[in-house]
Amino acid sequence: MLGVGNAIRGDDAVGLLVARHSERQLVGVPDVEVREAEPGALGLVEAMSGFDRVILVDAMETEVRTPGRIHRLALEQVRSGGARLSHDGDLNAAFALGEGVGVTMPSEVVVIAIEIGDDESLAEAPSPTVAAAIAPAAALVAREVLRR
Amino acid sequence: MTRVTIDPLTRLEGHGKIELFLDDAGQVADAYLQIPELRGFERFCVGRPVVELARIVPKICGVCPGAHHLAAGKAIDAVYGVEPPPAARKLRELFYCAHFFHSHVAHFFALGSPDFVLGPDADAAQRNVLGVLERVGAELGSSVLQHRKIAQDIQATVAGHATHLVWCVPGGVSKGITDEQRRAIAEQARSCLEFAKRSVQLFDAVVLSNPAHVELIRSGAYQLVTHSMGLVDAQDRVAFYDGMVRVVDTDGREIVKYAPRDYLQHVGEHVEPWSYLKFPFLKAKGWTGLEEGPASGVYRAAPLARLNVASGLATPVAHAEYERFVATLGPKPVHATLAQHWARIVELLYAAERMLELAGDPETASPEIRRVPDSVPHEGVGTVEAPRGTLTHHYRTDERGIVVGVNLIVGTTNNHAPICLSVKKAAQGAIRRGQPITPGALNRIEMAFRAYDPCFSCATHSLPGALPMEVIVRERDGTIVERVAM
Repeated sequence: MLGVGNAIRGDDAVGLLVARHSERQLVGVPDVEVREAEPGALGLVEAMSGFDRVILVDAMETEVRTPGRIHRLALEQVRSGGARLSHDGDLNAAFALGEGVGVTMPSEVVVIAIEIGDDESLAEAPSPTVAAAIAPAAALVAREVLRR
Repeated sequence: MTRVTIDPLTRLEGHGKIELFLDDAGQVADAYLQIPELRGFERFCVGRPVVELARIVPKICGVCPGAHHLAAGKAIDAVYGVEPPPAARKLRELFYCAHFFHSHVAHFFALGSPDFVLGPDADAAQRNVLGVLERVGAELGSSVLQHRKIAQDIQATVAGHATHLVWCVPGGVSKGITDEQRRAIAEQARSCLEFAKRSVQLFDAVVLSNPAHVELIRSGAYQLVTHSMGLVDAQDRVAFYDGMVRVVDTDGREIVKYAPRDYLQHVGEHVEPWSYLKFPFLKAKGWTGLEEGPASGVYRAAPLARLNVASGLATPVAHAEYERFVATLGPKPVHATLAQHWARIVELLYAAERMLELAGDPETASPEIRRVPDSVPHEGVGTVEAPRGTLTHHYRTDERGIVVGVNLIVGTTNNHAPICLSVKKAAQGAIRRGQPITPGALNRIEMAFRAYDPCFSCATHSLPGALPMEVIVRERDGTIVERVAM
């Protein structure tokens, strides 16, 4: 489980915060590792390489802003450009790059994207609407992890 | 003309824009850059314990957290009036060389090389790292990732973590390394050096042996005659972690060499009313406007400038490559903007060799890694060379060590004016009124911009062909003629 974001850009931290929540919830569950990343393009490849499955959680901006709404997306939906995760342009390239150099990239990818309002103001906490989505998103992560 | 209001709160203006202004003849007269500005960040730091800043500032940029952490560490040392012991300095330098290596590898392969391997007129969809890999082969690509990981492992071994840095403390660092770790790092550094040599071969094969590419590097559109700034050691050789700031003029003569804490005596910041961008300039020349040349106050920082101000490099393989660089593109100072890509390779060699030297030094594993300060905190400046240019952190605190003021000049800030000028030159002739903006024109602007490897998150987290910048062409009065997302 990979939570992606920026810890001091308010709502953009939500992926990291879900990861912290998940880490507590998934204690004792075998074959699962919870990681946080604030990466650039290549960093995503490095974070995901060697795993079979990844559940990636990140903030997302959409044109119709509904902060706090949670989406479960397949990688193809992100690739097709329908949604724009805050760190996503590189997600597409990361997979293509990893596969291109023969790095073992996860074959199963689930993206849990949380819509945010503002990722440009510096703040050490997300807005209340987005903060309220952390626990439900973590519950979704747990369901994904335990679904086999 | 449209007025840009600066939001006074803690906002980073998040998206990059290149604004091109046309003259009456419909040619590009001026180019201006709008990229995220740091005043919001500086304000965000006020009121915090200064020791926290070392933990916060790495988040300025996801690609160079190590540079900010070390600049902060040095500034905090200075705030507390304490000098770290030798082992701590060596550890910080070892970490930093690994960071430089990691950063330069990423830039060269993912960001810079596509322009040369695929060519500036290649389709944007191909002109990216994936296109490069198709050409150079998956094995080399795999080695790129492998050595990035090695460099990251070295950083993590030394500092505890490559990016979530809580390592520098006032007067030193919070952890050291064992002798066993030191030896393991030496092995890894050897592998990095071999990889760096391979990068030279790649650069030869795809750039230097291609006359069209060499012509492009030498072409007028990519020349910018400016003064140069960089850190140097006691023998005026390139220094990443510590040294004096040396500035040479457009002909290579020294203008000034100063201690980092005196930066305000030598560097001014010009503010344009229409933009939230500050333009650093040399006080010795004064601000004469956005122009190149010996009379201008505009200067460049970053790999090319570092080679221009230095007498060479302190390690043999890097120095030999430096001499080849000078023999090919010289005499110094070299003003070819695209030569920055070669300068990065020279620095890659130095970073690897220096890692090997430091890992071979038993003192690097000493437990004497902290000197506890006993002065009342007040004010301090910490300067390192970031991969993208001279990086300065200046902090002022009250007597409890709570921050009352922060001034940051990040690597790219030094280059604001040069980037505008380089973009203008690249755009002139390629863009004019009545002519739609072609992909080829955008490519060339992008190349001019990307050679500087800008430090802000909006630009660094992108690969060629996907630069999230907007190009806006305006008439003199600000009326928008055309806007294109790059």
